[in-house]
Amino acid sequence: MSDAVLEVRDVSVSYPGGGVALDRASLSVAAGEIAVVVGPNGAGKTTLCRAVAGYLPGERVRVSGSVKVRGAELAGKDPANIARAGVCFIPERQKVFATLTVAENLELARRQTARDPRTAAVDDEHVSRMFPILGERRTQPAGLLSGGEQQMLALARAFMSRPALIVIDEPSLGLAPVVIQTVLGALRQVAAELNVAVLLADQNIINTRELATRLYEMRAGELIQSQTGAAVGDYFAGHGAQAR
Amino acid sequence: MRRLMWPRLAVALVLLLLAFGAIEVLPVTWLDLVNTAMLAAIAALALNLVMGHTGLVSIGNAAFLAVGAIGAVEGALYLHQSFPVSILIGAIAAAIAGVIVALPSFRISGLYLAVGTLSFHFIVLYAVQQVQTAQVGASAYLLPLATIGPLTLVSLQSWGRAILVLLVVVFLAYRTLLLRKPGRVWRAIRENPLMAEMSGAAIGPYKLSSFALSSFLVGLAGAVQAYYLTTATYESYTLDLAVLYIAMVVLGGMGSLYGPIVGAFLLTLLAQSLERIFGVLGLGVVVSTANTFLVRGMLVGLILAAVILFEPRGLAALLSRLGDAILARWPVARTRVPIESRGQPT
Repeated sequence: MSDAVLEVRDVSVSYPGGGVALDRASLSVAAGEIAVVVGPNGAGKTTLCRAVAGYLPGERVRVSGSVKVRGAELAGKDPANIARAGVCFIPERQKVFATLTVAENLELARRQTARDPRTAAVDDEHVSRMFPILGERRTQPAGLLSGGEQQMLALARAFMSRPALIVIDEPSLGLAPVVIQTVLGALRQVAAELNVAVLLADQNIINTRELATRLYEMRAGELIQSQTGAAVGDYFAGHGAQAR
Repeated sequence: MRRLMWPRLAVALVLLLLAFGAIEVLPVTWLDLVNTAMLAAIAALALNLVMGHTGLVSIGNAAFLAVGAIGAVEGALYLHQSFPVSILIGAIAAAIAGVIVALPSFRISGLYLAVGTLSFHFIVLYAVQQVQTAQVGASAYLLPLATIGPLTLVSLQSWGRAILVLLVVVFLAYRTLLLRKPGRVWRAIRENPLMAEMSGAAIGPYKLSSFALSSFLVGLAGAVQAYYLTTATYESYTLDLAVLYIAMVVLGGMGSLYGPIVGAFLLTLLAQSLERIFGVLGLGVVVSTANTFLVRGMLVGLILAAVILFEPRGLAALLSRLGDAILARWPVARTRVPIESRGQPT
């Protein structure tokens, strides 16, 4: 397990009033792996994503446990430091800066990881090849993009920031089935090109089953099952058929 | 895109030449208004930096003007410094005050921050009043003539040229910053502070720099204004004035580049020429001189409400649409490009 990019150990999150959203969750994701966390509404998927990204606003939220990315302990760090450590979080909503242009959104993602202008030009070209629609709409405010296009922009931003880990929460939320396929295809492509670890949370098993190389099931704040490799397919053969 | 640069540059140059020409030919009363408006424009641009671009509401504008003015006064009268050094002292004092005010913005925003800056206004005004009373009693400070090297600014024309140069320099610096990385990060913070942080931006320092730079420029405007008027007193820096500046930004277009300049000109001209307008309309009998400031407040309120209702992006958005319509007919530029293009030219 030493080659794991993300290593989560016994992370618990409880909200004021005693609600336990996440109960000693542990998981690990290696480079090139796409770990999918499935589970019903309110199971704690979003809390898990946010705990990894350091995005748990509010002082009274209690977080314990260890989150390591490439061996560095990130639990308790602020989101900016976590981002600089190589974590790119794509939240469920408000994943782009709506009044900034597409180009500015991309630029913001890039500049934070200071790199030289030659690779920047290569990146620009690469992004506009991967996401042609973004190239066409460079000067438009990101808020004018459709839901699927905003998700594409979020993925392009992820690509620009060259992360070690992409955490993506409900990428299929509110999108038409055909758009979901495009978005997940783009995610797969970004993940493959960067050889990045991906932690994806989704309610919808059917959408993500072809993507998953590792699967976690979450229920009432607990990670209760994990499958890897061929077992993922078997799991879906059992559950996916029912869900359908 | 490159091809489209030159008509815009040409328009800017023509406007600039017209402005310099206007300073030479305008009658004295109008020139005084224009000078006042240009100073207001500097402060309004600065306010737009925090309010429009970084999304931090500040009602402390009049107080920053006061700090700038008093800083310059102290520099000139008590530290015996020259005009340029004194206005720099005023601007730096305001910037330091700005940093202090900005510190709470790490934790609070929106209405809470606005109330914070409101109390800052009263604290500063009280402090300035105490200092002023201790130093000159019940009278106002009187400033020496503004001298830059061999040049002494006495005539309204010489002041007009100097203020216009200052406005252009401030605008170019402000524009450059906003079109580059700081501007992007500021707007990202306005848009979604948490996501800005998750992009790896240290948002604390960016908020601080936005506030510091803004109050530096407001302080600079306050300091130069004190020299321009040759006098300064705490009584000029009312809450009304702070609201007037907010109105300038909103009317011109929050978050636009040049909008606040337009807003500053319109509202300064309106505020200063109300009495004349009443005279012309024969309303001088109805509205007594003592009441013009009430009418002014009412008009500012009405204009604010109208802008928010009909064009929340302000006059800049209206002008930009007008510009688009003209550009669409422009023989060389067939592509539709927003005047207020915020992206970097590619």
